[in-house]
Amino acid sequence: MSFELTGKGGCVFLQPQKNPGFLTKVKRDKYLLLLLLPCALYYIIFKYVPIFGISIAFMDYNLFKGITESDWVGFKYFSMFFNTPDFWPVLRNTFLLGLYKLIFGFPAPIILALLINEVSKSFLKRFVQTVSYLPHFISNVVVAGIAVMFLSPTGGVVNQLLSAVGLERINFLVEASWFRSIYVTTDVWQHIGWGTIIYLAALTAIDPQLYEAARMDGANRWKQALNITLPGIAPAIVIILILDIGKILEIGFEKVYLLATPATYETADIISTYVYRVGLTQGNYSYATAIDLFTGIISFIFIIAANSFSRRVSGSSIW
Amino acid sequence: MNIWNRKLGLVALAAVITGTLLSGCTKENVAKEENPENAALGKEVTLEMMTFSHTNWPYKENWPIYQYLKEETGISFKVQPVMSDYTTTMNLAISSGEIPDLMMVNSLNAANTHGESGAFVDYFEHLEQMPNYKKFLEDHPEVKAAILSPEGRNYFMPLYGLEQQSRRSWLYRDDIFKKHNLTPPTTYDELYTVAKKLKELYPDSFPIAVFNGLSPLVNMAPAFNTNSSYYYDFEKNEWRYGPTEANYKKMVEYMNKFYTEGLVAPDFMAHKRKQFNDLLLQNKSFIASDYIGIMDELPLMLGDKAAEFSLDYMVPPVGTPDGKSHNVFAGLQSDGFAVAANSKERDRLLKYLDFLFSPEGIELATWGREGETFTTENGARKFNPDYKEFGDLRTKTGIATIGAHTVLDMTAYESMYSPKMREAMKIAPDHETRPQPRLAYTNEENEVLSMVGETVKKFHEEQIAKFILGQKPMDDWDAYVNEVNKLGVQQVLDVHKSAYERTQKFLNEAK
Repeated sequence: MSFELTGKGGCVFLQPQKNPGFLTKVKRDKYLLLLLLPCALYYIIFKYVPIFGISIAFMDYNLFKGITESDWVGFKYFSMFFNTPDFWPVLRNTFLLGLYKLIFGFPAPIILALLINEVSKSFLKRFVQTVSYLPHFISNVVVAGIAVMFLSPTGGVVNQLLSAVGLERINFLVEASWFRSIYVTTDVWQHIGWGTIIYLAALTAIDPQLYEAARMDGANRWKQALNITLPGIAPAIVIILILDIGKILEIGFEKVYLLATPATYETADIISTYVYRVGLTQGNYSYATAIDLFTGIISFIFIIAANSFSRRVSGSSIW
Repeated sequence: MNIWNRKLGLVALAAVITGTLLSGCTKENVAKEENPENAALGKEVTLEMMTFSHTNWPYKENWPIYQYLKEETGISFKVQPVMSDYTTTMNLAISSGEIPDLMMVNSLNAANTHGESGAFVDYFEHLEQMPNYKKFLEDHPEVKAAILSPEGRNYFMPLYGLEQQSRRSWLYRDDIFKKHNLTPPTTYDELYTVAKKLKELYPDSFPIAVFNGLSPLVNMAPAFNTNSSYYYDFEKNEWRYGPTEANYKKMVEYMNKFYTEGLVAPDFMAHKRKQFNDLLLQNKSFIASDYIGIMDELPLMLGDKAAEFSLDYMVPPVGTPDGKSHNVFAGLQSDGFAVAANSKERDRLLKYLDFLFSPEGIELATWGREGETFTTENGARKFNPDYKEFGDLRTKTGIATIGAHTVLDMTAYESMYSPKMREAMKIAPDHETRPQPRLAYTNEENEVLSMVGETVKKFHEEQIAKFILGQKPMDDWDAYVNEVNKLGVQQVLDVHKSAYERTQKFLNEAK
């Protein structure tokens, strides 16, 4: 037991400290810690130990020999990736696709959440919410199938509409210039409702008194939304934005692969489809891991930069 | 990093399962050893096998075929059937060190890579134990040439027979052709004229049905005496790259013409099988290039309304004077057996596999057991009437499913085809290219193939697609040829060439 000196009014007392040692604490909380154990083990085994797997990016990895016995090759696979003629186009396509997804996909749920918030009929509100988040559960294979059907130059709904209003039919799926729009549009459709959930939750935290006060001051609904609702959910918006910026290069493989045709490679070939082609189908795991690590590092830089920028400008940040 | 999550998860799971099941397993084995039956075959063993399980005929533990095989060989299997993503599951098993005794590998390349690092048995070292396999390879030199490793060893035991089923072919709606008094085309010019005629008769239609990116060109290429990729020209005895040849250009010009005049669907490259089937079933397409099997399969989809609908085999039309009336023969199956190097029952297993290459083994794997799956009437064999078609036979008995055979006598299943399909299967072999050699590549060669080869392929596909769609004028052809050559066509050709020569050397040495 340790003691400390406390001074009060010129007198000095010796007082036992209320801070028990580590072991004592463990002993005291052993059952609580036991409850924590499975969760901690889960993270250690499935999230932290696998991180050492990235070492295969620097190896001539052989599945049978495993990590311990495969030969080290240094940065061979990284320089291989930087030197392939596909490197720049693939990086550019990935970045642009991610950027467009961010520009259009990020504000969409916020706008929808604000609109839903303005609806006063609770039945209608719930209906809109449910309908809009359902597409989130549709698999990419089905979404791609729906896109192919809707965009068909002969029987597709979109083209029938176009020709009904006297415009020319467009062969969407074989025009490289249309690929990004199709991808981003379907992506917004898929995830808009799901994204609103977090903003709607943030909206409930706004004090209703603020609205009352604003009404007293004569603010209309538009002014209320602008001056109370938006600032109210601003911290949530910033955090989601930072996380989304970190994900710019992380475009899922599946939908791109399903929607791309040889004619659209120019805009549709991204890092993950490239990895699939030369890494995984050829059994070249080291190469695939090297590329994955590369995108991971870029994403990490993005997220750090966005975070510090936001901290300086708006004051709110993730850490 | 996903693969690591799953790997560790599997290892952990396996550890738990082995822990809990260990006692149960051993008891079971003891019980089996006491079984006095099959004394002649030595004691009965249960081995582990990993195999692909098809969604249309998923693996069932009580399939009679495995029972028959067990009765003949004394070996029964604890099967790990894999429904999807076989590559991942296979790699997990190998990297975790828990390799099943017998394993289906889905490519020669995978078998060789893991074989060379010590995971699999080299069959050539044990050929004296496997007289039937040895004889089979001697009788089928083309198979032997397709299973070697870059060092001339053999870790991949081929499957033989089922590939006959996955033939590519040209097909046409013979009912529609008859109705309008049309004759099936024999050249690409005739193909154009007849498609044009059909388009007039059915303005909403796209008479020629093709789908899935540029894959239609693969089957068209022989008609122009070329190939859609690198290929060995058996006449000139040299390796060539098809997509830059003058004949290939002619084929692209035809496709461009078909596209511009609406004879193929404008978005055929984005079409998957469903859209392709729909076009045919809704009377919007009348000539198609696909697997020969859809002849029997598509009418089933229409059910009662199929009365009129009839697809028939069409002799492949010729595109250039030196072109051949050929479909591309896909070649041998990509799946094959590999035996784990550390299997405790290696010799028994090799004997088992050898049995599957023996005449009795082939018969058993093809027909099953007399009285149970088939009967003999007047010297002719017939499958039980319970099995309405080939797929039905596979679902109910496990016969001809992956894992239950090495060689199948495909003539046995003819009776299950429709008459016109039977007829087609007779003509088809005369209109087929020789299968391209399947080669084994070293690690360095594989690297060239995946780096340079894939870059070339992507550029080629992109450009050809634009030529067909008219997004690029045909006048740019020479520029395209220059550009694609610059990306490294020659490098890839050299890889194929040296791999081919190596294989030939091994084959000649063996003689």
